[in-house]
Amino acid sequence: MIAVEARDLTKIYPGGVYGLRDVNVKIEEGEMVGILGASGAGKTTLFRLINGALYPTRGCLKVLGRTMSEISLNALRELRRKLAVIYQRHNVVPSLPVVYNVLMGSSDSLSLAQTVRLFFYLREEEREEVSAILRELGIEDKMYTRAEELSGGQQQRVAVARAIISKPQLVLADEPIASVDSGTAIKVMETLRRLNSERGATILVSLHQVDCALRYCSRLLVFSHGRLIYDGDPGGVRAIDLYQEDLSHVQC
Amino acid sequence: MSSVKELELNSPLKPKFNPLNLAVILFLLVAVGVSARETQFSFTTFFQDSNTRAIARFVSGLWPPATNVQFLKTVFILMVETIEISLVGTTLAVLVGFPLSLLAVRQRGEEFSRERLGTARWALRWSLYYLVRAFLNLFRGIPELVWALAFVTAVGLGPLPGVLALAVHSTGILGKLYAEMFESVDQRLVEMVRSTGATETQVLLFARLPLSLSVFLSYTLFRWECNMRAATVLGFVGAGGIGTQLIISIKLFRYNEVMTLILAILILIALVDILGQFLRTRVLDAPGRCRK
Repeated sequence: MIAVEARDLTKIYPGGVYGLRDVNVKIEEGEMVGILGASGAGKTTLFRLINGALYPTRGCLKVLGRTMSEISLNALRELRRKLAVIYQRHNVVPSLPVVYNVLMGSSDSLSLAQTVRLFFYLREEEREEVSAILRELGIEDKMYTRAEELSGGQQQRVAVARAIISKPQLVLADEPIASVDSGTAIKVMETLRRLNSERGATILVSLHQVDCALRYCSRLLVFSHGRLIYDGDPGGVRAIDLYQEDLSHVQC
Repeated sequence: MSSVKELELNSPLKPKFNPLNLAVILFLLVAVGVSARETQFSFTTFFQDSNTRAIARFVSGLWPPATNVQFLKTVFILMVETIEISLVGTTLAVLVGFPLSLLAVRQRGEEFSRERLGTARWALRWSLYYLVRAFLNLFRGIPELVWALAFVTAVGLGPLPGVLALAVHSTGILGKLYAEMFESVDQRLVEMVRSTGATETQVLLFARLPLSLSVFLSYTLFRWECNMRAATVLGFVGAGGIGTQLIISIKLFRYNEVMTLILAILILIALVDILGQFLRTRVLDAPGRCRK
């Protein structure tokens, strides 16, 4: 089945600035796709279109079988429950303890009353589940710490934990390792790979680190000024093109 | 190539003489002058013979404050009543203002566009938004004392019209303040929580409320403080509280009782301030408070 399909997908922001221009791409379920491109190339626009935060200006975008230009707000919520998004920054609500920042990933299984209940009482199984995920990511001891007291890398791990708990079909990771230490970067990428190989989640990850993309992804998309300029094997991408796109060769 | 001097000359920051500015300043000066004249403002009024005598009589009458037990007992009972009026009034305002504020939040994001919501739902959403905003403006626009007069007419004398007056006026203020507070939280975090598939109520619980809890508390406590002050004068129109006695003492020229009442009001305000600080510290400074 196709996870994401874009046909002539175009997004024009107010003021006439192109975010994406005539993008055509098909991503099968279970793929791990790296997205490369300089800042402003259209990576974040693509993610925001897939997750429904933006509306396509032209063209067609289908995500897990839903056409994004026709989707209602309720259907969009349903769809988002199958997605997990990891941002470069602004991944945690600073004043909330880590456990709530993780549990919001399972908001689909919580009624309003249960959501309110969380803030007064956590069930044993909820604590166990969050604790196990945080242990895997090496921040189990931070479970009850306010997120604002964590380092950038630790906050990023919280975002990954939230993605894991939501049991996503599709993960959108928007430069998840752009501003973290190398230890966290490896942990994040390994976790994404495991979500892909063990749970069959489709992963779309935008990266600045070419080496990292070559190592972890089975397919690469390269964007430039809103256009898709390369789609294929990691091996086929020419180093010279990437340098022209101002991408750094950082070890990962 | 332009030199530094040219750049300086053309800089938008360079002050330029604008006759319109001068006209605005002149207009304001004339407006102040005319208003002062119309309101019979005069520095010398205080020093007119009859006025200096009246001031001296008032000031000398203030001291010593009245301390007879019967009067102090009355003041104490009225102080408690004032606190009760402000407390119930503020609580009602929070209970009504909070849900109204949620309807008065302008939701940003393309998810809430007409295309996504459908015309009917979109129109309903915005009609509700403007309707709630209009009601909040109405509640807020009419001063507490006028509301108190209206409620005295409706439900009779006593503390109840005072409670209702504070509740209605504060609902208007808190509803607007809460709505603006919820609107101003970091939109990126709102989008992050929405991306989990959360409903708008869950977005409120996971992002908007925790992100604005300190402001929420500050606004609410400040409103309580304002209501306490307002409750001291509601008695002027028969709506209960310490003002009931204040207006009687003033009218009977018992200035020593007025002094006792002023001191009582100061104590009330200080109490609210201390209690407010205590609550803020309890809620906000507790590190990583969370039930394990």
